[in-house]
Amino acid sequence: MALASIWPSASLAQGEPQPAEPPVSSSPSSSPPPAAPTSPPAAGTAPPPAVAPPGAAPAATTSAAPGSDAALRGEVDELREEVRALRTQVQSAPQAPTGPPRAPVAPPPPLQHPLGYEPFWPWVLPADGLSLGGYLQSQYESHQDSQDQLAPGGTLLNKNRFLIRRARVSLVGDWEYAAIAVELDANTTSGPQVDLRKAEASLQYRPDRSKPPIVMATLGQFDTPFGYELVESPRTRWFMERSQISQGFWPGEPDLGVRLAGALGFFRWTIAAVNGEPLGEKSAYALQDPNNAKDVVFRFGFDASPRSDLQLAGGVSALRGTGFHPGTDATKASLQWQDLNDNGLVDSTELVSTGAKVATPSQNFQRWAAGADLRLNFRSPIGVTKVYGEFLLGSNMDRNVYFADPIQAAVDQRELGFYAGVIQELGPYAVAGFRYDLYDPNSNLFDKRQGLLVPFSEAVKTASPLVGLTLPDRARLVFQYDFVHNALARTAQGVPTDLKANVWTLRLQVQL
Amino acid sequence: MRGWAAVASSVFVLASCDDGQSPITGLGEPIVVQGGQFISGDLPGSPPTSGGNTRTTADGGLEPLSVLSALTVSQIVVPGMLGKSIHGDVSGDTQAVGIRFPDMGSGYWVVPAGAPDTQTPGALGYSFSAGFNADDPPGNHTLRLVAIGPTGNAGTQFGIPVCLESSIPDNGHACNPSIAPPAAVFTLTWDTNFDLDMHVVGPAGAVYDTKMRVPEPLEAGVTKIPPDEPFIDRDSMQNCVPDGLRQEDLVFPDTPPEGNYFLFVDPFSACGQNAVHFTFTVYQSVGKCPSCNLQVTAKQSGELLASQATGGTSPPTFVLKLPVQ
Repeated sequence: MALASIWPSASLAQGEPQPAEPPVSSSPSSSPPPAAPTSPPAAGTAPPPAVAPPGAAPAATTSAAPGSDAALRGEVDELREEVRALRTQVQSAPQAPTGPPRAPVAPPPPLQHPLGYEPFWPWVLPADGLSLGGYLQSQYESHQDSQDQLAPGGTLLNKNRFLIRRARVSLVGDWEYAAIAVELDANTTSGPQVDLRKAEASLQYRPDRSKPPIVMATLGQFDTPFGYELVESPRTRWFMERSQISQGFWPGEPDLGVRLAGALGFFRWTIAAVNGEPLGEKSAYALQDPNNAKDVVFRFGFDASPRSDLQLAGGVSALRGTGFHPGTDATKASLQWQDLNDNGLVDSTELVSTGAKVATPSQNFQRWAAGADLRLNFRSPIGVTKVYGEFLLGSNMDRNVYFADPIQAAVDQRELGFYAGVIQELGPYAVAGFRYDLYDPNSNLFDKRQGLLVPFSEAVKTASPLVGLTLPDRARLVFQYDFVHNALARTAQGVPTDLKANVWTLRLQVQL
Repeated sequence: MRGWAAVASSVFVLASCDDGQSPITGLGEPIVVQGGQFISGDLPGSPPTSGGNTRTTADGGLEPLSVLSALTVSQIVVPGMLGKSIHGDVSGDTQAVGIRFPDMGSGYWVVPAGAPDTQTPGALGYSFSAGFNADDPPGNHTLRLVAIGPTGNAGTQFGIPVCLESSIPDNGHACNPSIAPPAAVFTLTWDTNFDLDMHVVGPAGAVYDTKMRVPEPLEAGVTKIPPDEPFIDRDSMQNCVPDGLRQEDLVFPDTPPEGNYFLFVDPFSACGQNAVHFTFTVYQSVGKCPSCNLQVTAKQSGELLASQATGGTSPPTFVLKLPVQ
């Protein structure tokens, strides 16, 4: 710190005129100034001679009156001593600064972001050059459907636990025509694991450094640019997780591909082609691609501030992609026993031979999604109010919760969902919010009732009140309760009903 | 502060108003119905009447909310068995069928009624596949079924007699007390998927080992173990293949020779487990049939570590010396 505070001052002293101190050659009837400034001697060299060598600052020695010559020499010597003392002081400054305390150089002022600004790509406004970021979300969560049992396969049914939900570090670089973003995530959600969340290499044209790029081309791993919630950073999102439909459609935000995006005035556009197997997909192909076709995504939207205390943003999004139904391996011949008479003994009629079976081919299927999102930020005396929502439609999109596979089901699975939320700042240190979301994972569903097939909805509805305390830009302590209403159980009458699955979560987030 | 307390209390009040179904898997219940919904409490409806399972009215019609039939291939239930199929018909006003043992368990299962049965006018079919807990008390029991209507009202319960066999080889004595159980059974049970083998040395030096289920090789042409010959019933967890049993039994159909028996356990392979807890139990038949039964006369438990697995190349671990008179 001392070095940092001394050097700029020294440099200023060297590089700029100091009006308080008269120049060496200033004399009442001075002759022309020296032709070139003399360089100070290097550190460690012998002091300069008392009489200047020929050609060095000749005016001062030749044009002065003879009577004042001695005084002038004395003055020059004093100045030389002063310069020597200053040089010594500068050189010894890191060890023992001796000069008067100087005011530390203030860091550059933080970039002031407009109301509603959220740091997600490609609309983030990073600082020039490299910058490091990170945050940690640790939490305790309690689930009503938790049990001290194992599911078939060994999955834990107890969900009441402490966990590290996200521990992320990011390195962001932004220059005139290029940008880079790398983000790593460590968590204990499904046991300890580390993932690459972002690896974006971009070329961009961003002449105004206070605004998003006019055009940006990115190749790498990035959040699928569909709607708002999918690209919203978990660092800034108050609610614990994305809505049910978003989690069903995209198990994880990142996917690999190419993205073109741009901002012109209030207009925002994004077009991307991705593998279509996002991170977190419960198949063997996450972040890979089992088929040649790529998922094409676009979003056209706006981001405007009609008043200084109001921001409006929104857009429409669409996706068209190709899903994959894996084939099966060839099998060898086998012998099976089925205890037809329940006597626990092998009878000859209970042995069944199963011949070797040929492998079955994999098949592709089509999927699509369309959505619209809108959000509003309004600043009032009590704080900023954020109201936002999103509506989605899809077909064969669920890759996480209610898996959609039209090859297996022989019918397309139609999905529908939406969410609406509000977040209200209560002064600088508190916040309250509420979100309602609905997800109908299969609009074609039927249930058996007294021998008849009747249409039935297995929609999951979640109401999530939230309260939080915050240290601005540093830490958050948030409590959220999710009232979950699903159709996963049956009543005594055999009718689908809600399975108790409410959740509460207490999360502490601290960020760099 | 009051505001925060109000928020917290209102959240918990709302949470307590949730009237959803309790998320209980039903694992550990005496009967587990695959795909069924488990509900705590007594089975609805009224107990069977003295008239048995007849569900027709005086004019020959069907009683409302009645189980008309329940069919299964055998009334014998092997302990721990999975996939016992039960199916039948219910009256047409039935929406779901409830199932439970009235004398065991903490609740009942519900499955929806199925499609109309074309063979029985006015009736709906139903079917379910059941599993039974290996710890169910052996003996005769009655499984009750009941038809439940759309409003939750239920009819008269329907009883199916079933017999849960003993997990200890007893020649079917639990289901038919007139059959005498074996004179003695040495049972080795353990708790994890570890390949343990029973090893017993008898008074005359006879060795009973899981890898050779009878002490002497059978003669050529003999297809069944002679009825009076002691034998070990199985090699559980053979080649580390889980069989859900983790139990081996040395069965003495007749009174075992008098003398000292030395009981060993051979930790053949750890199968990826860290440790195993085992119990050696000796049962001997007491009393005169039909009131005879197998009683525990000796019991010894222990623990073995994965590092003690022998692969069959080292002597087994000594557990117990048992004098038999």
